[in-house]
Amino acid sequence: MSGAENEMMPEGGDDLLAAEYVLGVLDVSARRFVEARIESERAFARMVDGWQQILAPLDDAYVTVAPPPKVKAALDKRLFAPSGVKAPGLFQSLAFWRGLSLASLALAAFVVVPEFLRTNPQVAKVIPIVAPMQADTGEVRFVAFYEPGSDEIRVTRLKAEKGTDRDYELWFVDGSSKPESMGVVPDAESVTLKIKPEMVARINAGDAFAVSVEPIGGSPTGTATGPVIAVGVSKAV
Amino acid sequence: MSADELSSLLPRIALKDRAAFDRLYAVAAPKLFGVCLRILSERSEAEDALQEVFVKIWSRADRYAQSDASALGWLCAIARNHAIDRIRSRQKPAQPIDEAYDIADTAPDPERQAVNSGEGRRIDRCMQELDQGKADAVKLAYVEGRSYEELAVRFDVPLNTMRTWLRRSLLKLKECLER
Repeated sequence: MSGAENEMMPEGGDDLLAAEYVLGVLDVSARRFVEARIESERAFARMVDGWQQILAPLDDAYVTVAPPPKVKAALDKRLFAPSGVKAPGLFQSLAFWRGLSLASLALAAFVVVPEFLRTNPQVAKVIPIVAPMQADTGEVRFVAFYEPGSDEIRVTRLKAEKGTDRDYELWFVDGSSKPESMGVVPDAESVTLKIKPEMVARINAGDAFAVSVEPIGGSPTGTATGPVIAVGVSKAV
Repeated sequence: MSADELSSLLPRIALKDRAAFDRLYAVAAPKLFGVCLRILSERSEAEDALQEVFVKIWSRADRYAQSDASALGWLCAIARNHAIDRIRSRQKPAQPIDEAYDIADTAPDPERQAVNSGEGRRIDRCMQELDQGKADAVKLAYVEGRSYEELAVRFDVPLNTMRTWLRRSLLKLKECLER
């Protein structure tokens, strides 16, 4: 037996498990186990990220090969073709944002609805929609509340941080066109934003809202330039 | 394609900006198709995989906004993970490894090398500190997504020896890069 075979096998441990996952040597069940931990454990997810960065230079080995045009055509059809379901892209995202739990909806209702009811007694005539906007950790950072037909949208900040030289900007995403700015969100716990008349008729349950961090005064380009810190699909409540 | 352009496209895709998605496809699809082809070998399966990879990019781009990874590294990781899941799930045995084994063509893509030459050289130096066979096994595992079992057969060593090789190599690599 050679010396190499006499070497002790290093004990597993989380860091090596993360490394083996990124290297790609694990079997299917171990990969699913690792992915479940990435979703639920921040510290473990960071180990995986660390190994990703260590090994990423090996990506140089992949040569570029132009895919046939039919792949993009099939992709577009799948993601963007009009169908009975509104905005398939968002529908996909709905599945992905599975953290959109009943708990967060309940939280949103608790935080926003009572105040709204106090100030708008006629609310019972329409079904309002609520969009809890979450970070990728599942944490709800903002909640948008909208009464269909109204020219105002209420935005409540639950938990978010930005530099003093930055503004939050709210985006409306109905999946059929480019995301549209609904304006800068003033730095207060709860604010009401005016909605452009042409946008009023278009906001429905199922549309998504997002908040990005932008230079003061909002994105200079009309599309988000900074990190998107919270995203959520609205629901009728 | 510039690294800056890629990382500015992803937050827009998180906001479901289709023009940004089309642009990302134009600049990144050839690299990601290269990843899928290398791991899966079969062209038609690589095409299916590429489509799935871009569906994932469309729905998960919001995760990039909070990641420290380079945009291209993040995209390649999605493609590698998807392609590796596919080969691991195949019921039929993998094709003979010798056929696909060609460590020689792991030569760096010059474009990418120019973007990231500092990092590339650093890992190359650390790879050189490993024994040749072990460095080859690490590269083969990463680039082609080979399992421990396949690598043990390819290098004609017991499974546990391969496990030991790769684990020790990973720890040495990390130690070298942190030096």
